[in-house]
Amino acid sequence: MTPLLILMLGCTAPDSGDSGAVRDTGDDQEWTCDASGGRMHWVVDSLAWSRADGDVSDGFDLDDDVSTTGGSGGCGIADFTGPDGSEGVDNAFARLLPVLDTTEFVGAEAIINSTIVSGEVLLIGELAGADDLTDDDCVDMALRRGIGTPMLDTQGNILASQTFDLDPTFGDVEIPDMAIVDRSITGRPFDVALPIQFLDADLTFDLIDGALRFDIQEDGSVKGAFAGGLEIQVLIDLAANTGINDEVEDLLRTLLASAADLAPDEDGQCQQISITFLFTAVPAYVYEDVWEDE
Amino acid sequence: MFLLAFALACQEPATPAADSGVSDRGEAPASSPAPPSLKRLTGAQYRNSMHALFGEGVLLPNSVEADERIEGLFAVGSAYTTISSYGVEKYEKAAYDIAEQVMDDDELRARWVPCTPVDVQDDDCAAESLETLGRLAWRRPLSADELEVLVLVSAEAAVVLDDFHDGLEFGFAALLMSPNFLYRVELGDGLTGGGGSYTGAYDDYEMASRLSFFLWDSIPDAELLDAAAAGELTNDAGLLAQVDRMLADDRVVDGVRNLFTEMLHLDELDDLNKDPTIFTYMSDDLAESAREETLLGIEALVFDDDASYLDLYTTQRTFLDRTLAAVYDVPAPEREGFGEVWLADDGGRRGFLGQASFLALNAHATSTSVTRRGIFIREVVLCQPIPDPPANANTAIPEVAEDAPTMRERIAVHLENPECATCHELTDPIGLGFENFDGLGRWRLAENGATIDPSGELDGGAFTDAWTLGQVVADHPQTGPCMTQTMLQYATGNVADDLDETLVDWHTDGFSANAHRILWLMRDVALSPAFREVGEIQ
Repeated sequence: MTPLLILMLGCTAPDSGDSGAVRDTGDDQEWTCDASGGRMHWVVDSLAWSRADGDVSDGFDLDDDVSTTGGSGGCGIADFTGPDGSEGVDNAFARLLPVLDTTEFVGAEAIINSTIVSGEVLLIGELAGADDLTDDDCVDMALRRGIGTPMLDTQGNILASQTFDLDPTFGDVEIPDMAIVDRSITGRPFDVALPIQFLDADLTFDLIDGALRFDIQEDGSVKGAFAGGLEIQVLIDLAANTGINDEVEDLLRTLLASAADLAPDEDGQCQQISITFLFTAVPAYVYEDVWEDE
Repeated sequence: MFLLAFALACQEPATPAADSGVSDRGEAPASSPAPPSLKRLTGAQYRNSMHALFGEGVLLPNSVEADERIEGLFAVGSAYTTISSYGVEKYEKAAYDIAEQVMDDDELRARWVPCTPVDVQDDDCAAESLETLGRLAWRRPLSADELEVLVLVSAEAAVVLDDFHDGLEFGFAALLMSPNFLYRVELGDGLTGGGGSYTGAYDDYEMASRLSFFLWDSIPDAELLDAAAAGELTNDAGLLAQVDRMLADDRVVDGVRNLFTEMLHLDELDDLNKDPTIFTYMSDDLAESAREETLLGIEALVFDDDASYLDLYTTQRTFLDRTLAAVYDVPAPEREGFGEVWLADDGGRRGFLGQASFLALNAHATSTSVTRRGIFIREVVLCQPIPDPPANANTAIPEVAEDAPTMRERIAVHLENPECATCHELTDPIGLGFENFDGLGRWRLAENGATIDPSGELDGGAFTDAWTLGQVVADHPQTGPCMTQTMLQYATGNVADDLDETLVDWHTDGFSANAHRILWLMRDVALSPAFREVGEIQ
């Protein structure tokens, strides 16, 4: 059966691309962000779990806390150190991957990527108002969903610079008033609701208090990461659809519950697990007439 | 069996074509007509003719006898090619297959069998049907003897098969595999003039065929044959009227497309081969898309704008589909099919020489080729033939080296070796101007980490890159005259040496004075003595 994975992004109205956002500068002056440049787009062509190498893993400090094993923060789940030495990286899911990789779940990453190249998941990042891709203190970001069958290159990857339609039925995630610093953009927090149809199941991939970083490469492509807290039930549902048996499912439930590190409830039990996706994206275009009605 | 009957009637030659009055170059100069030739229909002409007779729905063979390019044109090669025994089999099979389709299709059968047979053998009905189809297929009326043979074939088959239409199918097949269909018998109307000089002219039916294959790349329609029957194609006024009618007909689009397909070698895109590990944008659709881009651009230039041929090399207007738009790194103009795009001033790409059809075709499977791209400019655009390399020449692609990261350094050896330099000096500096485009036509600024220097000079015209090289090509004094020569060769099927130089110059003057408009040149050539008069058989 062909995997069917459809990402639906949280609903907000598309922006005109010229936001003129206003930032509170902390004094009496108002700093006006007038994102005046054009729009640029990238389409995500690969997704991967951010894995751990010892205590190092790529990700974000989602809870603004450097948690330690058995400590009071993060339900006692130790944070990672980022590749750049940054402390407090929440990516608890990475700790489970060595175990999950011994189950049928090992195929989930490949299935997700197959849905990308088949066009079932076309995540399109939009950068609006950029006058300078190296440094620009006022740009708007948006995450949209493309539709259609992507053209692939001779290696089976999504062909760069192709043109997509945007799905008008899906809302978009918009992150205005951001800055490019040394070809890198970081934005947070935002929530992304990603209802997913995975194989035969409808799942909701809720990334809560999410964070995004992407680095613009010299060849115009993008490498980056996005992260957030994920309800553990979502991962259980996802795993269930990879064909794991009941025994493994129970094991997974236990593992996830013990690894959850975000969103503690009244009893102090964390209900979410931090997860980070690494992605690459290639330049793309969207049909300009999608803006005509705005 | 192929039967060729050459009847050379003695008539007065047609008077030279009247100047169309749009330039002051005067009457056509006295010229030496080219000798006659016997041209086999090109593959395109065969297909177009079948479609003209039986509609676009008729199924045709994937290939018939291969065409041969001589001096860059199938139109010239068609006079020099033969048909192999395997080719005969293919034509024969195709003729039977098509005849069967005609008889099996109620609409086609009603059209081509206009009578109701009274019996299994009905020679009158068979003759009427064969005469109707034969006149169009053979581009002239059938003689009584020819018709009698075809009726006899049909009658014998009908009796054996016990069905009139099954029998007539054999007669139709005989028409469609006949050399009178497959060959254009254009020999002129005979020996005239004083002192034994051969100053013949093509007769009316030969002119009908020449006009239709030149302007439409297909067979004459009934109106053109009627004009031939009335003797109108061998007088100035009648010829002018038909030429103008044909140029106003939609079928001239097919003619122009074929002219440029041959001239620009666009048919070779069928065999485009690229290393997929190097050129990741290569796809099954790319070659066809590239060809269509070029042809749609030419259609727009010739028919929409009636613009200068020279604009072909500088225009920023082009037509792209999704596939090509990705290759060119521009937004696709349409979701399906092709749409118009105006290439950006700062995009580095414009004109035919910035199109994938030229750039990918004139490159190697694994790299660009400055030599091939340069040869194309010299031979096709400027009509300056480049000799073939010596048999023992090393044509291997130079390897990338630390001190030779870009093609400019790698091909320097061509220019340093005196044996190579003679020709490569004519081609490689031009080809280097296109090095910002890889072997598929993708834009690039660097090669192996080194910045590409695309500057150079073409016959005194300096260029900084492909963008300015396009202008240098458009401004080159040989670009317009070369188009004239190519048009004359395409129209007449003659090799360059058989064209009268004085007459070529005369047409060139007119072409230049009329803003290098292609339709004007086609009209001028169709009325030309070079197109109407025939020299001695050699």
